[in-house]
Amino acid sequence: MTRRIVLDLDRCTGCRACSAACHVGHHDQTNLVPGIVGDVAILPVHCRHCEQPACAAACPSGALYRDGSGFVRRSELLCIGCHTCSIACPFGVIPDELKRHVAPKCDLCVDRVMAGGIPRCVATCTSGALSFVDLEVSAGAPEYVGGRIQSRAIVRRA
Amino acid sequence: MSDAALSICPFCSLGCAWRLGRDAGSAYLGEPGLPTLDYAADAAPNRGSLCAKGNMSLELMTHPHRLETPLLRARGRVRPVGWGEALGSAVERIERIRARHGSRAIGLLLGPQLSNEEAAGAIRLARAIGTPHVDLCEPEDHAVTRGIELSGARPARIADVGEIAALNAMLVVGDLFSLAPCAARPVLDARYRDRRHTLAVLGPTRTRTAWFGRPALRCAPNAEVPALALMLALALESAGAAAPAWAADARRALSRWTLVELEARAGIGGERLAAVVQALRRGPASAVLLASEFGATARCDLGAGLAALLAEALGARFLAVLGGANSVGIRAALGGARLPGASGHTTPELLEAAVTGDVQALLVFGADPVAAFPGTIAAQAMRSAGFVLVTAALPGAAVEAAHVVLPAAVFGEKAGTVRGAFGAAAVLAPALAPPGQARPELAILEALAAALPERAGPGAPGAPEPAATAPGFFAELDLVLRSAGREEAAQEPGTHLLVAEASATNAAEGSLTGQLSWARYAYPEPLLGLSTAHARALGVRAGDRVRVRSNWGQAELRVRIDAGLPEGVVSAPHRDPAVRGLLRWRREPAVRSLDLRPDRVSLERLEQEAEVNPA
Repeated sequence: MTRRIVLDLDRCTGCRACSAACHVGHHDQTNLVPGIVGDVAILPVHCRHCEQPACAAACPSGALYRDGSGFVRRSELLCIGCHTCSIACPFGVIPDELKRHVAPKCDLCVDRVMAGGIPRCVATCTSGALSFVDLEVSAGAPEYVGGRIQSRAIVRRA
Repeated sequence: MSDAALSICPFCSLGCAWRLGRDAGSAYLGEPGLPTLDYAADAAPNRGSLCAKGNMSLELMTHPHRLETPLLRARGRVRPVGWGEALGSAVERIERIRARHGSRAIGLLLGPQLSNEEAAGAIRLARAIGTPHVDLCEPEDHAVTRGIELSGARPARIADVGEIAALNAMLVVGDLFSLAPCAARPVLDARYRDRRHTLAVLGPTRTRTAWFGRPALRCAPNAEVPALALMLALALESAGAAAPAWAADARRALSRWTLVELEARAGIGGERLAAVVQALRRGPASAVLLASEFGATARCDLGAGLAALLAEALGARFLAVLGGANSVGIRAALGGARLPGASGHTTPELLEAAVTGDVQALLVFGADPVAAFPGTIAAQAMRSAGFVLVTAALPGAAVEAAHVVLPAAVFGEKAGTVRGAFGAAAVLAPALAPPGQARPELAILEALAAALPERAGPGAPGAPEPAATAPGFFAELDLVLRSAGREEAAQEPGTHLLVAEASATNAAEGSLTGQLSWARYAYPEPLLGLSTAHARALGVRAGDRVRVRSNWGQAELRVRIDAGLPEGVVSAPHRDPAVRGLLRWRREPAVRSLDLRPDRVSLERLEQEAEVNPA
C-alpha cells in the first residue's frame, strides 16, 4: 500500500499549522516549509516521495534513499549538509537551511505511520485540506493530480 | 497512543482538545517516555486539528525559560526567593497601600487563561482586600463582550461545533480563520456541502477567511459598523410582529439615516448586503459568526453588539469566538460577582488610574497588560504603580516591571474548568506537574486572600454596571455613524491608514506565543503589509525595510506584500512592541472599554542593505 499526502486546494486557508506540527514533532526541524504562491496564497508543499527521486540521485554521501515501503528517507548519520538535494529537488520541498547540520527532509512521520497513524501535518490540518490517501485506490480517480486535489469549485484567490 | 486525559489548547476560546502522549523513542532525537503532543482525532470540537499555536501547547509546559521560583525586586535588583518571603512581601506591601491609600487603590487584572475557579478566587481576594476593581485583561475580548452585553441582544447561541457544519447560510464578521483556525473545518464543511450555501465574509481586507467568502463583502476600511448597521436596518425593515424588545429603539436610531447614507459610509453596495440578509433569514439554519479581533475595525464593541442584534432580528444563531481561552467564563464570573463598594474600574480605566496615581497597586494574574494593550499606557501604568505583583509562567514585559513575580502553572498543569465560545464548561486535566516551585494561580490567590484580613463589609450589594441599556448603545452608534467618513475626508495626502492584523497571522507577537520556537522561526520579526501597487509605487520589494511614522511614534519594519489590502491601507501586527507605539488607542467612555483605531501613517523607503551574494 502506498499512501501519500494530498492537498485540497479548495480548503487550504494558509494557516501554517502543518508546518508548525512538523516543527514540533521533529524536534524543531521544520521539514515542511510552506510555499508562498506569489502574493496570493500560502500552501504547504509536501515531499512527493518520488519513484525516481532526484534528491537521492544527487546525494553524494548516499544519505538519501528509497526504502522498502516507498518512502524517500534521509539518514541523519550520513547527511553531510551539502545542500545538493535541495538544489536537485524539482519541487523545491527540501529547505536549504540546515538544522543540526543535516538537511530537513520529510519522513512522512514514519514513527506514526508505522504505528498505524497519519502524519502530523495531516492530523493537525485545521481545515481538512490535507489527507493521507492510498494511491492504489485513488489511481483511477481523476481528482488527485500531482499531490493535489484539483479544484472542484472555482475559488478566486487573486 | 495514550489513554491520558485530554488537555485543552490555551490559545483561543474554541477550546480545542489535544492529548499528552509519551515518546516511543522512535523519532530521531526522541527519548522514550518524554511527553509529546498527540492529536485527539476522537474529540470535539476540533477532531484532532490544532492551529500553529495549538501545536505549541506542550512547549509552554516544557519551555526552557519557564519561571520556577518566586522573584523579588528590591532596590532595582531581582533575586529569587522562597514562597514564604515572596508572599509575605506582597501581603505587606498590599497592606501598606491599603492603609495609606484605601482599598480602592488596589486593582486586580485577570488574564484570559485563568480557570473559572481561579476567577472566583480572584473575586474572593478582591473582597478580602475590599476593592471593586477586578477585570479581564484582554482588550478585544473585553470590548466585544461588553458590546454584546450593552446591545441587549439575546440571540440563540450556537452550542456545538456540529451545528456550524449543518448551517445553510452564515455571515462571518472579521477574520475568523486567523483568530481561530480550527473553526475552518466546520465552516468549510458547510460551505462545500451545498452549492447554494452562503458564506458571507464582512471585512475591509482580503483576509484568509475572505478568500472563501461567497460572497466576500468588502467594506471600506474601518467601516464594519456602518455596514452592520445597514444590514440591521434591512433586517428590521421586514421584521414581523414578533420583533425583539430593542427593535423600536433600533428603528428609531437607524431611521435618522437613509439607506443610501449608510451605504455611502459602509462603502459597499446595499443590494449585496440585502442579498445576504435575505439568505440569513432562512431561520435556524443560518448564523452570524463573530471573530473577536476585528483587527482592522474601530469600535469593535459596537460591531459585536450589532452582529448579535442582527442575528436576533433574523432569527439566526450567533457565535462570538474570542481570543482568550476563558474570556467567556471570566466575564461571566465577574458579571455575577458581589464586589464591595461602588462600580469597579474596567481594565483600561484601571491602567489610566495607575498612571494618575489613583490606583497604587496592580495585582496581575496570568496576564501581560504591556503586551496585550496597544499604545504605551500599560507600560506607563506598570511603571507608575507603587506595587506590581505578577503571576506568570514565562518572562515578559510584565514580569520585568513587577516588584513580586510568582511562578504560575499553565493549562495542562492545573485543574479547573473553562468556558469556551460554545458556552459549555470544559474540564482542565493536570497532565504534568508544574516545573520547580511553580503553583497554579488558585493556590496563589487563596494564599494571598488568607493572609489579608478581610475588610469588605459582609455581602456588600453587587456593583451594578453603570446603567447599560439599549438606548445607550444606539446613542453611541449614532455618534459613530455621524463621525464616519469625516476622518477619511480629513486625511492628509501621502498618508496611509495603518490597520491592525489578527494575531494568528503573526504568531510571534503575543506575550506567550512570542517565546515559542516555531513562532520565532516562522515569524522572526513583525512585517508591514503593503498592497502590490503600493509597494511598486514606493519602490520596495518583500523583505525591504521602510520607516513608518505616525503621530505617536515611528518604527522600521520589513515589508510583506499583501495583494488583499485595499488602496491606501497598510497593515501590521498590533501586539508587536515595535508596532504598538504607532497606534492610537482610546477608552470609550460609554462602554468603558478600549478601542484600538486604525491610524494614519506615512512611509519612507530606507536604504536597503547590500545583498550578499551567496556564491
